[in-house]
Amino acid sequence: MLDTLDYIESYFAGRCTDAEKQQFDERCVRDETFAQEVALYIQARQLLKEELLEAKKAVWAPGGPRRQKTGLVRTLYLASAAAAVLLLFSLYLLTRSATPAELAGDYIGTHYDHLSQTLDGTRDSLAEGITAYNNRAFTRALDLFTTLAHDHAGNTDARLYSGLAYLRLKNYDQALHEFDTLANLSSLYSNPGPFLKAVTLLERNATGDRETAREILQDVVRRNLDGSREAAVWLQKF
Amino acid sequence: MEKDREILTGLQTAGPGERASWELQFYRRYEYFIGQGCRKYRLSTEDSFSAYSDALLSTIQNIAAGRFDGSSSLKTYLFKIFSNKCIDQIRKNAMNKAAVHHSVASPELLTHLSDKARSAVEGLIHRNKIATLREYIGKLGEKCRELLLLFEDGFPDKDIAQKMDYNSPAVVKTTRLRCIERLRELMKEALKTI
Repeated sequence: MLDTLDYIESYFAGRCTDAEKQQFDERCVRDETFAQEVALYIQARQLLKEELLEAKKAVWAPGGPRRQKTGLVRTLYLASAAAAVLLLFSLYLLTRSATPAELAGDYIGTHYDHLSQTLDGTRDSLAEGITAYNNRAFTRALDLFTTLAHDHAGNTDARLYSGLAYLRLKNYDQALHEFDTLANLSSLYSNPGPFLKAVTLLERNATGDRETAREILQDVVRRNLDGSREAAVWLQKF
Repeated sequence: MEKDREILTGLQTAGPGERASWELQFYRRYEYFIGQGCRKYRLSTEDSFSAYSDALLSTIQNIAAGRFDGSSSLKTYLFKIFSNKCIDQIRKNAMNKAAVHHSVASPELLTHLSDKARSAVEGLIHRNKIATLREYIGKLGEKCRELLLLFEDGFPDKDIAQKMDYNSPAVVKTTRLRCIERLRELMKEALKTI
């Protein structure tokens, strides 16, 4: 019997020649007893395969397969995962410590990207400067603002806008000079000079600028000057 | 692709003690196929898992036996087998709906036979009874069971001799044939009574 089994096994292991395979196939057709032996061998091997497969499944996925998300569940899962990522990213943006230069840049971009146009017909140079500023023609705007500030020393708007134009041109030293001059004007009811000086220092971010800006911002908060609300928030991030 | 090459080499060269870790890596790498089986073939997770495990086992055995020629990527090769196994599973489910006993898929070894020989042998196979016979493997004894499962897993007699401390591959072969003969006898008796 072992010889028959060896013969059957050789056939299924692919160890037979073509002629031997043909003989084997023909014997299955004409010899029912042999065909029974082959059928039994195949069933035994199938049984072993089933047993092996169960053993493998137990190793590959102990406790069964992990739940696969399908259809609507999968879509909802992906949507909630995306929402969670977005939320985490938003929280990160809100809570991360922005650099001083970023704080300053954001503030200027939000509040002084566009200047309000004056309707006062007697102040044509200022209106022209504002138009140039809003058109990003900062050098032209600066010429108009500085000329106006020089000719009319009391024109605080010209002084403020000159400082802003210098800032947009990244001429920080001149911007600081203009805002410093503005800050020293005691006649103004609302004076953005000190806060903008701090903004300029933060944007320049040279050695010692951050510390100086912090002191100015603390003063802005203490005296409740223009920009005190932003200053209070920024100070928490220092 | 680099990972596939690594897995392939691991499966081709590892012995019985080391192959398990490569198999597990292979399983996990394409585990997402199970989800695809659920969506594409509308199988339950359990059935898709069975089809995937079965496909993986066939792929591993083909690799170990040198039948994977690398003409397609490992992923493509596995997915093709997996698709066929999913279709087998659908057929099996359809058959089980009409049958009292659960059957197994058509034994792969039948495909080795010529058409005429297959017709002659297939009629003698009790597919709907095979699933009920698994308990008889336990009656063979642990040593016989382990040897037969290593053989079924595609390991050559030389590796089995080394792992199970047999004197030679020839002893493994004789012992294996005796174990199969014993299993066949048990099955023959069982099939008379079922």
